[in-house]
Amino acid sequence: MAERQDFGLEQLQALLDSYGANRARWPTGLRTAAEALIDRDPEARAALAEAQRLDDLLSGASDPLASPELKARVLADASARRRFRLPRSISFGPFWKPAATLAAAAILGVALGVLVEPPLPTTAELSVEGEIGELALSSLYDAESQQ
Amino acid sequence: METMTAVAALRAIVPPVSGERSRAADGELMRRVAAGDAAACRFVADRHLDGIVRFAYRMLGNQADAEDVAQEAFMRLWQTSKRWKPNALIKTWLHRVAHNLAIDRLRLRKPSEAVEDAGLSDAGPGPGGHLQRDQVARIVDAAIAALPDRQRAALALVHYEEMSNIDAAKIMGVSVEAIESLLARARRALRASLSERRADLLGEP
Repeated sequence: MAERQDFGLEQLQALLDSYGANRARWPTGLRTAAEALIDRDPEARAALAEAQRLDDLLSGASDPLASPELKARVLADASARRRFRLPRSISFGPFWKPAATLAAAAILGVALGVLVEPPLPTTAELSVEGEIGELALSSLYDAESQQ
Repeated sequence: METMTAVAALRAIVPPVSGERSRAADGELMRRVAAGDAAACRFVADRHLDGIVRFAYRMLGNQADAEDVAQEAFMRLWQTSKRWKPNALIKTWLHRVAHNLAIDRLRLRKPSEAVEDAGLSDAGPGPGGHLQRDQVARIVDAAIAALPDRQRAALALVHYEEMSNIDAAKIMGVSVEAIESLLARARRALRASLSERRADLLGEP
């Protein structure tokens, strides 16, 4: 790929400002020119080092995970195909709770239903263009074996 | 136990999120979800729930709100399964819904509601002269929480969730140029707010 003549320190700084020091995240159209500049220009390497220091700082942020209770609620929602989310105070362990608790949860869920916004989103991504076609499992295996 | 074996089998056929194969595999997964396949639901949750919680946490600043948003996003995913578009990606779809839900919550939040761990002025290094991991996290989290909502969203999507600029732009409903501008402003603000404590945060002498 021919080196871009219009890619200088200003463009590199703009790239680093947006995407940081991780080259894998740079837009592919700019990566070669940026790397060539870094290879030949000490100021460019200094800018890259500064961006890396910020990336290192940002890597110190929390890395929260889903609680086991949340995962249980999510999977319970999948089973029940609820139209409204039960609050956190209703907990599900790895096994179904006794019937009385489930009944209480159902009653509470109905009561909450009038308070929760309609669950179906209306973004463009959800428009249906046709029936979802069958995809044979064998085709997934074939694709995997071609790696 | 059967579900766990089935989940392991699914893991063998569904590639990491990328490209056409991933779209096809996600389409197959959602077909199974629509059919009530418990293993498929568990597989989707295993693959994406932590990422959605993490993204929502960055947006909202506390675990409880993040988990509420995550649960709501997944509930909508389950409900949408029968109408799933074949070329959609589960990861992008979930992040878009979570982003919209988080923005709605932020709009309803009173200015006085603080995030859980505001710690920019947190205590200094411990006896060994180094900040503990949780102290570092509190300081960095607070700096991120102080960003304007859209800058924080762009940073969370691109830097932490490793979304492409194109996917982040779709999720936020803006142009790629707008994403790049938001990212640049966010990173400059963070560089400024964290610069005084950089040595402590990086464990430098």
